Amino acid sequence: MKLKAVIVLFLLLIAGGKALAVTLDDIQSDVLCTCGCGMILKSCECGTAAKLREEINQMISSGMTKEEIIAELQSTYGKEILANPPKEGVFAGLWYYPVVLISAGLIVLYVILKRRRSEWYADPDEIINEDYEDLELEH
Amino acid sequence: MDIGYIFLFIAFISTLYSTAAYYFGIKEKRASYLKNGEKAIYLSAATTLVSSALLVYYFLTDNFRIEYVAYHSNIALPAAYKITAFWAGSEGSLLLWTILIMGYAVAYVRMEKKDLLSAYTLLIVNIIALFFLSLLISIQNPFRDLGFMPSDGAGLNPLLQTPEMAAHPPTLFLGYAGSAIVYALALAGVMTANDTWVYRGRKWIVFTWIWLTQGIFWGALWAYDVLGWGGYWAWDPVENSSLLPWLTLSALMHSVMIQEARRGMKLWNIILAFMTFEFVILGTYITRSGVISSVHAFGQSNLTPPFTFMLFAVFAITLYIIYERKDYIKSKDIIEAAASKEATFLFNNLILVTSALTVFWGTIFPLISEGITGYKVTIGPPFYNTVITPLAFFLIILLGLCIAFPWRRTSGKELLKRLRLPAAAFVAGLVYSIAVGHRFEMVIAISSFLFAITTHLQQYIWDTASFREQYGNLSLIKIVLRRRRRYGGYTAHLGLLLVFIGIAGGIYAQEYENVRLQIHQPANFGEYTLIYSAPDYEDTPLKTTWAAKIEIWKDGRLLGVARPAIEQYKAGNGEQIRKVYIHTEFPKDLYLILNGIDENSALLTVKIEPTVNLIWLGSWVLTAGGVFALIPRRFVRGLFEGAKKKEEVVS
Repeated sequence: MKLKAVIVLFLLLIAGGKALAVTLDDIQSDVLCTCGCGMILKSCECGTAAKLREEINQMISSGMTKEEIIAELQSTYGKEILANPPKEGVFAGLWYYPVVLISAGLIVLYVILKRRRSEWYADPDEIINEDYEDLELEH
Repeated sequence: MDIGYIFLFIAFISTLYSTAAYYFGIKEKRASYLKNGEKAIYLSAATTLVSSALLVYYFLTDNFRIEYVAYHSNIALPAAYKITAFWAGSEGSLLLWTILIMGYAVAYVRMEKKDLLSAYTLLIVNIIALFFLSLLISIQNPFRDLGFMPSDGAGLNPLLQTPEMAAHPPTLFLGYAGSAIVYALALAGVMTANDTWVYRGRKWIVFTWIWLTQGIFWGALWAYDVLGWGGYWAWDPVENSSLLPWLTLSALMHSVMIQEARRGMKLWNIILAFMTFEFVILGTYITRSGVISSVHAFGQSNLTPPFTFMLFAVFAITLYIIYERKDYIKSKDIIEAAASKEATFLFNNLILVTSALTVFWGTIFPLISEGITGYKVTIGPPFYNTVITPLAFFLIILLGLCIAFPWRRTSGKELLKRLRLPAAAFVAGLVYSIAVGHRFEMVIAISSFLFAITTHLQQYIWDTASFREQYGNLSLIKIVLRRRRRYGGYTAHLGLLLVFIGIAGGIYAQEYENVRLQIHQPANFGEYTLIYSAPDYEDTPLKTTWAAKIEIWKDGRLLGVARPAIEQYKAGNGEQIRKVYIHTEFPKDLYLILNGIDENSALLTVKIEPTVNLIWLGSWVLTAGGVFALIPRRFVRGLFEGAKKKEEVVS
């Protein structure tokens, strides 16, 4: 019962976070300013950025979704405007890599955690109070 | 040929001699050779120092015959920035790198025992110094003569004429150069099959980590105060390259403790030391080569071949040594129970290294995409935010768990006792932040923060009670000093928690708006009222400034008059920069950027950064934790006499 309540609360939180209309902020963090500064639109304060923001605001007013706006910007300015590559083709590797990495790491940790025949030599918090030359070390 | 160059050349020859002396000293077991190698290190350090002092002198005396001085200074530049112009370009920063490595080598010679481990360590440090010196005497000569004396120099980039930029490169390079010692010690430890390296190495690891932390802090503060875009971290390749070694070194700082306690993780620790140094080389290369587009890079240069060689050489040598010493570093069990501090360290290593490799992947991915598709893709903040955010949340939870879990093992009942209060704090955080209407990510951030900080506070209270029982009348300060490594670590954790919540507040609770203020017309922004009272124009030989005087009011009280400005510099390319105005009410900042101005109106970007000052505070607490853990034993040895007596009585 408690677990169910926690799951429901968690789902509500996620739903609450996502059920919002598209805003300028949602878009301008995902596209670059076209002035050539290399910054995301949100961080650039030049005249080109202001014009681009106006353009995006018009698209938001016309009821376009985030995906539609980004697609429209891409068709106008080219894929160079994207602050992130699409999750397809070669570029998918960018996104899958961290997942592969953490999965491989978890498997290694699982193997290490299963092996429990270790020896205890000294508390690392206490070793600082000793002269390490006095410690018996393996050579 | 300039005298500064001659000194650099002597340093090169001397380091070459020192390398040979250490090599043959080790090979033929001749102490006299090692002694000569040591003397040569002093000579190399002294000559590099003289060479650096000469470069500073050339800057201060406007010697524009020297190309490097002519490119990075001019007569009107204030004297303090003539000194910091030393590291404004590629050649000077490589010289700074070199002098710091030499400084570390001298410190090592003076502080550490003279044994085989030290001989190997200094041999490797010498080889690294040789690499940088060979660049300085060939393609990166800071003393190149123009052949004529220009009437003035091109001047220093105005964005670099700030105290933050005076501090950022030296602090970061102290960290970078320190990583060379850590790597050399680790490699020497494996070469000599000697576990002592982890004990000897820990102070070098912590010292290096402190400077990397400081370097990142000053860089972020510079971006925030000076660059004028209202942020402190943009996941730019150059910024990333300073974060990478910090992440792997933080992992190493924890995993060496497992080697101390269990004699395991030998392979993993050498890999972490290698990764840290390799990331440092990569970072130095990215910043100076222009190979990856960055707002911070020095531009195109001829450094690609030598740095590529160095990256592969370090990789190949490390791999060879690991293969050679495979029996010494063979796998060993390190866990008695899954519910133990060791296990939390393993997970912390997984997160830190995954974060580092992911940031590395995002940083070099433009090169990969260009190689495969011909299109150099841009990897912006959304990628990093998407991937790093869950890892950061997990790390913060772990930060709490690693305090709650003791070494070796713990019972389920004990664990329940240790986690009861932190779990309650987590739930309280959830309820509170949902009630005040925070967005989902901020809810999780606040709850994780409260969980982790509660485990720390709870541990402090329990420790105090147990110390009173164990040590009787010995003061708490003395007890904490006795366990300075543990409490240094705890303090660093508190710093990281502050940085974490500071960053989360900036990402998830920042308010911002582009506004046009009409003269004398109040405009409300959050709890503040802004009034554009007058334009301000100033023209000096150095720059032209357009500023807006803006009154900041809150609750009917005038808090101050802001003066955000646009400055157009006259030297060089006539660069235009934004002078932002920051009004601080801890922990938040009101941040004003002037975008345009006329007699009747001012166009501004107004931001409220709710928690940014927690990041700066947290960075200092992180540093303080490191410094505390570094207090040498001989400074506090006398304090423990009482403790020893009591322990003896108890036993």
